[in-house]
Amino acid sequence: MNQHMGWAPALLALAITGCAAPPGVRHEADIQALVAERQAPASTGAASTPAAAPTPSIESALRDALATSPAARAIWARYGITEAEVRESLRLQNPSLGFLRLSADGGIRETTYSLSQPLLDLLFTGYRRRQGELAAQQAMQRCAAELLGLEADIRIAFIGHAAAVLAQRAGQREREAAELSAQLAARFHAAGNISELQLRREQAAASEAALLALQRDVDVAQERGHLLSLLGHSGSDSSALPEIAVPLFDAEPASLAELQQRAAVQRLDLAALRAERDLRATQARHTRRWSWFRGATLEAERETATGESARTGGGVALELPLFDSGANRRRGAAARLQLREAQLQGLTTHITNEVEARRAEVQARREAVSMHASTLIEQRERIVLLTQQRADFMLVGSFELIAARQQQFAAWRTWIESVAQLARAQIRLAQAMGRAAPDITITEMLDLEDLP
Amino acid sequence: MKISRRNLLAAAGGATFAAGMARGAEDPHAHHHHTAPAEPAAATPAHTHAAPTPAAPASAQGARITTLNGRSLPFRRVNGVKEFHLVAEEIEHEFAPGTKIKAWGYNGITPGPTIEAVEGDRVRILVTNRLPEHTSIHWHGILLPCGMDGVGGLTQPHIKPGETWAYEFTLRQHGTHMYHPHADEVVQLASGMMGLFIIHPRDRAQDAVDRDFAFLLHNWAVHPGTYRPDPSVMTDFDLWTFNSKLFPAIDPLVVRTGQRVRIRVGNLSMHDHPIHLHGFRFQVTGGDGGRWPRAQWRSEVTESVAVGQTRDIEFVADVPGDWALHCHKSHHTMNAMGHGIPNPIGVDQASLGERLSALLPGYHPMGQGGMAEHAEHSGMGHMHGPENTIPMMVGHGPFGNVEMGGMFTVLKVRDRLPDGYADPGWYEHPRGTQAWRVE
Ligand SMILES: [Cu+2]
Repeated sequence: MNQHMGWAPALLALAITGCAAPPGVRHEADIQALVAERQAPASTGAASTPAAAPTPSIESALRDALATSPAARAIWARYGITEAEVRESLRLQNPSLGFLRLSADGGIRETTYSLSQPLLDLLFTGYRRRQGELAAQQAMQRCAAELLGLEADIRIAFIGHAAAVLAQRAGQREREAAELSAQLAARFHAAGNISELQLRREQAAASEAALLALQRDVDVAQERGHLLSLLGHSGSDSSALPEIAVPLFDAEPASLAELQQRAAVQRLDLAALRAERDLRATQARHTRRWSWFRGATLEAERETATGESARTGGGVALELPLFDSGANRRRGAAARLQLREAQLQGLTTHITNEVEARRAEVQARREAVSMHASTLIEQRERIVLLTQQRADFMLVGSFELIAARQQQFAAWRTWIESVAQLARAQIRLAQAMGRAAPDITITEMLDLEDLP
Repeated sequence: MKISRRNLLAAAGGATFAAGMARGAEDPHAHHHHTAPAEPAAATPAHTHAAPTPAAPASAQGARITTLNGRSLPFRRVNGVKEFHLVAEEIEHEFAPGTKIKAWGYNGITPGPTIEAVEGDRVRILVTNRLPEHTSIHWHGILLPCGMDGVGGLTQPHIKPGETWAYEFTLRQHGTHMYHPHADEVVQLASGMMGLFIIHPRDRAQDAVDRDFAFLLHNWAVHPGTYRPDPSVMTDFDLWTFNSKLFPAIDPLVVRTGQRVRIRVGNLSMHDHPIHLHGFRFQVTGGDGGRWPRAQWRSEVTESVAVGQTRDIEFVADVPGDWALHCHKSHHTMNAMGHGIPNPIGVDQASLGERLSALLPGYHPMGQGGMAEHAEHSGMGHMHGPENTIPMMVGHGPFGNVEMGGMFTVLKVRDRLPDGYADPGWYEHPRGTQAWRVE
């Protein structure tokens, strides 16, 4: 009898082996490696506006945020869910243990033990292992991509906040100039030298400048809230904000083709989609071959009856593909593969275009920054000097001189904004290439202290 | 009659004239490098035997014209004709130290040299055009055949760049007259093309004076910081000049006490100018129409010279001193000045001073008590205005800032002039003849 049951434990052992076989879950370390190999070396040249109290550096705040912020924790949790689902899908179906006792008149008792194991999963273990590997790989890649996206969002939020603060300060100078102009107009009016109309015009201009300055206060508050949320701090914890700096990154020296090529290699969403496509391809092949084969069950049974010797046996039940030969499953699997192929092609094209567009944006933004630095700032400065000379020779009035100064402050503000737009565009370009941030060190930091 | 280089050479009959003309005829770009007047060398003082210029001052003979900051045009006699040569060209002109422009003028200067001749003379005036556009010369107020009147398109074809033309006529009048282009006038006049044409009476005793000064009034749209007159301006000019010069660069009129003085003033500007002389009653003795009969003379201290007019005034300079001579429109005795700027007089800017200088470190609040402090600051070099721009009020006198500019100069009457008619410096007032501070 025992000898006859010999292959049942073997069946169980096989099932257990099968269920122990989900592809290795590489977990955090592998995901961190995916992220790290796409990150720039920590930039050391991040000079910035000196602050009174020590504040966290951008890089350390970023590291903390990527480890502990709610957004980062949510990314890890989503990965955990996906990973569990992958493991779940790889488990063998459980075997069924049957026990049946029948009694007949005359004290006859019949007892049946049965063990059955669906055979389908068991037979395709290798196929399922491959599927599991692809699914797990995909989950990791998507998780790493989300982490990189979060990092980019946080860097952009830093820049947005810093630019808003610096623009607020420049705007404050614009406002002061307009207010001074209005106060001077009041003196001219009091002396009887300008009309109320001229006075009101100056005052209205000052009011408008004040209103614009208020809008810049709002911008700072919004940028600050956005940044704090991404960092996972509450607004009251103001020490969490890093020092104010708008970085001016180096130029990206590579050619467009080179960038596009790098993007094709580095983009994690593309890699994940490739894994998905491979998974569907394997699935379609498998379905083509085995679609007729739906159900098969291995059964072992032991029957004892009163007064009789025990009977042991086993068998296989096979579903006959009479009414359902699996044609629809084959078609479905082929269509799912086609869908992934199409998506892959779409994403590849999109990345090529995105890199080109982002690169063009970076170039235009860089041009805007350099136009500010090399021309507009100097032109405005020169205009103030030349207007001053004319005011000294009583060729123009004081109001024209103050207005020239106000325009100089405005040029500083648009310079700050253009540097921030460049930095954002560079981060978005890096993101389009599947990298965390420009892989270049910060060469310069815009500093309002330079404002004359 | 059109003059070619060949018959010019024939007419000149002299190597020096040929050299002068060859430059113009062979190298149309010569004017870019050439500022010296291409005047006939034979008519320079070294050759006075060929061209006797008016004699040294002698009352009976009449004085030579003193063109303020200028000169008279030499001539040569060719077969009984006085032949002058004007070269129209672009020049560099200085209004006063530190203010230079690209002007258009004649023989290297603006106004062009004064043409001096005598009633009854047959004159031939050669005109070479080295400008980038055509020109012509109109002899303003002179009686002549219509074809010599110089109105481009109307009485003659224009004188094209590189061409030399001749005007020839007999002078049938005397008086103070002018010459100027009658082609693209708005540009050419605005750029400085003008000159005096003074005809002495045949009988020099008739209008004899000891000192005979002449200048042209003009206005210039040379905006601060620019280097070329802007011909689009109609009335709101930047600079107002006597013979294209600004005070303090205008020559003084130097005379000896007791001399009879004539001042001839022509106006080719866009405004009328009441010319005022301190210290004397003068007689207005003539105009474009010639010398007036004595019965028509008027005794004045200010004579308005209208646009396109000339006026002669005469007086005996019998009181020594430094006497102002200027246009009486006060904005015409200012240099570069802003118009329409907010008026700072009486405005208390001081209480905003700290905030103003925080915003504008170089800011000088000025004008609360008046604009004289501006002359003080700019005169002391505390402030530097735009390039190529002279401050609105300038001039240091023996007692302080003169606070003038533009159409202002000084008639200097002295008992003794040891250095001839060179500027004798400031007048030393005899004791008891000068205003004094009471308290
Ligand atoms: Cu005037």
